[in-house]
Amino acid sequence: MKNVQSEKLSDHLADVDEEILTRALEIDDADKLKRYVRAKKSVGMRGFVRRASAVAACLLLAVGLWLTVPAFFFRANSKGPGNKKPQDTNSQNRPPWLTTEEGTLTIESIDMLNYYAAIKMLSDTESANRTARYTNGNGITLYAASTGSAEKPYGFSIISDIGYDNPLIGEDSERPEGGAAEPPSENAETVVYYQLNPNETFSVSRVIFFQIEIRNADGFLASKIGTGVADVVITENSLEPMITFKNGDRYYSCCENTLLDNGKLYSTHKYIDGFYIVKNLEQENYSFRVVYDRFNLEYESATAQGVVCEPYKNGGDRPDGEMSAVGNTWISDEVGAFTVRDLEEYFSRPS
Amino acid sequence: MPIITEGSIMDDQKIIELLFERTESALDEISRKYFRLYTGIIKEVLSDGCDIEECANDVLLAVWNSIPPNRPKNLSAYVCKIARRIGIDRFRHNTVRKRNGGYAVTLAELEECLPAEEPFGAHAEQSAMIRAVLSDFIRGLDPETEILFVRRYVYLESVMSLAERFGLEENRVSVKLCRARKKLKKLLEKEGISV
Repeated sequence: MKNVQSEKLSDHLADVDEEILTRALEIDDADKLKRYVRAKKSVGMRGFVRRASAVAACLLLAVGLWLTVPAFFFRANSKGPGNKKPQDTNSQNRPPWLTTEEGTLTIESIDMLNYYAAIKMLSDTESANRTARYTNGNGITLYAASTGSAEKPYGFSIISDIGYDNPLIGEDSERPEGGAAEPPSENAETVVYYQLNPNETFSVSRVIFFQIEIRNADGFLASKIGTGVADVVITENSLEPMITFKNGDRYYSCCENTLLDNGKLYSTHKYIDGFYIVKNLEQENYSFRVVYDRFNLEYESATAQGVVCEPYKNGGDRPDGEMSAVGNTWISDEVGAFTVRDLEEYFSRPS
Repeated sequence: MPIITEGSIMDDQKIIELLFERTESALDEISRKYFRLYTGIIKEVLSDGCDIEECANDVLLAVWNSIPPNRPKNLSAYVCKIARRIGIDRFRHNTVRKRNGGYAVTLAELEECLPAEEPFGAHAEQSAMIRAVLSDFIRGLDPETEILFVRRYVYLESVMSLAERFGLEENRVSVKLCRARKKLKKLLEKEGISV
């Protein structure tokens, strides 16, 4: 009797939500498990931090006696990418994002949030006791500096969960106060919207940065951000694994679709529009296949060779084709969490 | 410099499209991409080599027969679920009284979760509720235990394999699973759940 019952329980366990089954299948090594544990812990920290905010305020006052408030929040601020270049004596290895960007930064989209969170992670990692690395096809170079990064719990909000299967979006989600901005489309049958509340924190657990050269002016990506050398930022974050292209002040981002044997595939059917993630399989769609030289699940020692843009489901006739990588690939495995305001303050600071 | 790599594994969505077009090469792609995954699950249920081979073929047949009309969101999870079902069906067929294979051990462990009073199997109509309770239970586990638990009791992976895969001590895996089972038993008793 018990055996029959066990079998029934076993069958019921196999019938739990697909998101749980998929996640367990995808987390298939120690590194992925570690990252998942870290990501979940950062979610759990959210509630704790709220409860402890009063205590933290008192501590801030005490600490303020001997530390400035900005220094408390941004321990690494003097080495931030918008301010001062790191103590890297080898100039040819200097990360390309470290160009001075003085003035005021206003983050108006998840693209920008993802991009600047990634840049801050790379800069912090680079300037931290922890090692950061770049790969140049000849192996990994490690280097280190002196300070750490600010870590905060993340949070986000969604206004709809129709058909959405991200395991990290769930019970803690809540509708943002003050209502949502106009969604990017009115066709609720084919488009699904998610809105990030800019006041909540956004966490990043892995960053890959490289640059590509966009040559095909008639291509899809070129129509979004133009031609020339563009930054490519790939993150694993509290929303969805995402790729962001940046060329000057133009951005384009879409979400990860699947894992390949030599890289990962991102597709434009799930893209970013302002603070929304939009899912639309009915439109003209393309895939961005990121190709690495010796890709493995750890990304260790992998160098991005470039990005291939091809038609995806309902794909149109303007693929960008192959866009070769320019220079090194930069990787950070640290975890950080930021609000829009954190990043705006950080990157707006004059040098 | 050309950066397209020949021989890339096909995207799941493309495989599903091929299945919808009734193109048999889709099965080759599934086999190429997920063979180790789904035979691994079958091997945890069955011990006989012939059974395993037959079940592996049955998995492909079942995928072929079920897509279309099904269009799974996640092909790997879908294939694994089919493999699990086919393996267990064969196990049930093979074992009337006799117990063999890793699945029997899994079942023995799950017996610990069963409520003392009410027998499972009484109210099939409750399955949606049970599914929700079990899903919430799994989500509520600490993340490490969550993955271990699902891999052990859904994908039937052995404790030894889990320990190896995640670089953990076998004892630690066992203890975590044991605690999770006790927790599940309490929950089921508290909720008065009978399946």
